[in-house]
Order: sequence, then C-alpha cells, then structure tokens
Amino acid sequence: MDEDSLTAAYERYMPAVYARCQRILRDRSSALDATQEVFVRVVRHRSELRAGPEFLHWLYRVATNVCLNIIRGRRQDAHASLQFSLPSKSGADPTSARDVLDLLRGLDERTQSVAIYVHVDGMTHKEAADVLQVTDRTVRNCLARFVSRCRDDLANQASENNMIKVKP
Amino acid sequence: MKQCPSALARDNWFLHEIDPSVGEHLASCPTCKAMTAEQKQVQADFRSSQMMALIARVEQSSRKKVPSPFKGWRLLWFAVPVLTGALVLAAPIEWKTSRSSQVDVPGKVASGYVGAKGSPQLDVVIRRNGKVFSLNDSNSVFAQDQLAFVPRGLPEAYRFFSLGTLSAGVYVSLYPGGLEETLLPLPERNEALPGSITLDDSPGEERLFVTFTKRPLSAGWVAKLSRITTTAELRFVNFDKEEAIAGWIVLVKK
Repeated sequence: MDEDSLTAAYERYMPAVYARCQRILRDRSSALDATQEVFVRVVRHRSELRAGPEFLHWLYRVATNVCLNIIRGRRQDAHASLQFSLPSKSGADPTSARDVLDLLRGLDERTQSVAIYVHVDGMTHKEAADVLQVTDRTVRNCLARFVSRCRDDLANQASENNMIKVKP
Repeated sequence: MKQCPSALARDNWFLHEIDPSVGEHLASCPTCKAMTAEQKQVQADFRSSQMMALIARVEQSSRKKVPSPFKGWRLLWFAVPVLTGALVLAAPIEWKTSRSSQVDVPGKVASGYVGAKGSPQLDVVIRRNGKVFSLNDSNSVFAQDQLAFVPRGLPEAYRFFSLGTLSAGVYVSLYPGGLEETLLPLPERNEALPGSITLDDSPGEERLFVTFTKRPLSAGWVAKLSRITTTAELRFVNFDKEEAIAGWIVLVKK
C-alpha cells in the first residue's frame, strides 16, 4: 500500500471501522481511540496490505482485538461498566443488553472474538471462520464454550439470588 | 437473501459491492434499512467532525513509532537525574526566549498553533490533495487547503469558541456561520471542531482570530474583541466584563 493507497484507505475504511468500534464499545471516545490504534497498525503493516475484502477481514480482526484490549483495560477498573447489544436472529435488537465484562470473563481471546463476530456483528459461522482464518468447527467449539460459560454464569447468579433470599 | 446480512456483509456491500443479494435485501428489509441508516449517520458524523483530526493523530502516532537513529543506545541510570536537572534549568531560559521573541502585532508570527507551553492551545489540521497532517511552524498553507481545528488543554469552564477572519477591516465569521449566532460549544477532549474552512485563492497571509469564552457570547462581541487584540498567542483577557482566551493565528500562504 503506497502513500496514495493509504490516503484512499483512510477515506474508504476509517468511517466503517469507527462505526464498528462504536457498536462494540458503545462509547464515542473509546471508539476514536480504537480506530486510531487500528489505523496505526495499518500504517505499520501497509507494505503487506491491499485494499479489498481481505483487507476488510483484516480490519475486522484487528479492530476486534483492539476493542477487546480496551474492554480488558476497563475490566481492571472496578467501576467499569460496558454494555453492548446482542442482536436477535433478525439482526437488530438494541434492547437486549448484556454485560460484556461478565459474559466474556475468563474466556480465551479466540472465543471472545468469535462471540463478538457472531453475537454483535451477526456473522454466520462461515463468515466468522473466514475472518479469523480458522475452520467452521473451531468457530462452533468456541461458541459452545461461550454458551457454556453463559449458562454457568446464569446458574451462579441464580444460586446467589437464592442465598440472598434465604438470609433473614 | 432471506436472513439479514451480518455487519461484515453489509460493509462488504457498501465498500466493495460484493454479493448483489445483500443489496437487494437491504433495499427491502425495514429492519436492515433502519440499521443501515443509523450506521450511515454515525459514519457521516465521524467523517464531518472527527476524521481529519484522527488521521492526523494516526500519522503522528505512526511517526513516533519510527525507530530512532540512536536505537541501541541506552541511558545509564545515573544520567536520568542529571538530564532531569538540566531540563529544569533549561525550562525558564526557553520560556524567556520564547516570550521575548513574540511580536505583538498580528501578521508577524507564522504559527501552526496558538499557545505557549502548558497553556490552552489550538492545533490546526490541514487536508491538502487528500493528505492530512498537523500544521507546524515550518509549514506554509496553500490556496484550497482545508483547515480543521482541535482545541487542547482548555480550562474546564471554557466551552465556547468562535473563529473569524479580518479582511480590509471586515470581519467574516467562520465559526459559527453568521454574526448573529452565539458561539459554538467545544467538542470533546482532543476532537476537532465541527466543520472546516477552505482557504481562498487570494494571495497574502491568512489571519484568523480565535476566542474561547465561558458564556455563549455573540460573534459581534468577538469582532469587537479582535479589534483590540494584537497578540499572536492565546492569552487570558478581560473585555467588556467578560473573561476570555483570545489570540490570532497568522498563516503564511504560498
């Protein structure tokens, strides 16, 4: 990617990357920081990059990692509270929010990324596999881990609630 | 396409026009239409108010990552306090030098930003031939350059801003659009002010007057303040029972 291609890449892809970071992080300022970090990496790796669908996959991958890093940073802050919307099967349901800190806590990075691709971006398993450059089976395994984790969390939450109820 | 496309498929359609079935779905599905409209609005807002400043930040950060020619040199631990002491001693000298070299007549100082070290500052971001960069003291500006402005380090209370230019005694308000309007609220930290200006083809220096005030005062008030302000750095002033930070930016146009 030469200077002119880089300038064109800013124009073409930066708004889309920003919109996606904002969709994940739900915060303008953090989305700007994330977009900046993504494009610093574009500049750093520009000799290996060419505009096109593969580049968009690469941007999705890097943006997800950067957003997850920001989320992890927030997790270290005891007061952090980050929420994002889980789309329904129809693709849009901004009302059902989950606490990403709780949902993704303790999962490996790949599983966290898959959860975001499928549940935030609404990707099919194949699309998630293409972006991550893994097999469909890996995506299914990651999702199984994610669902299992959610079930455990729900069970723990229910038992905590019961304990509170029985206390005088 | 029966199922709603993912965000990736939508982006791929808008950026590369891959898979026309995505386009057909987006045109017919009300849910996707609404989501697309929302995303386009987010992108349009970003494009108009944030993008230029962000590209400048990216370019700046990328330049910082360039390996130093002194790579491999290591500061010995005892050098750190020595260097710190030297900097402390040098600071007042540098401050005095920069103060004494300031000219209190607008038009004599070409500066890419207004403000001394540690004080309020306004960065100028330029878009020229598709390239975006921050203006510094060694840059000149050209006709048709597009300028955006990023306020930094302003006290919490100062939330309003206006920019005007003086041309043969006539004030032209650039931020906001008309002299009747009040000053604009400042954007969030390190973000560019909404909108930008494009330099015209007329030769000579570009003189821009900037002011920040605590209250939303009129651009007419700003014009009066500009008549009595002669400094090319941002300074705190009391004018007409109002507190403000004001100064000129003078850009050498080639």
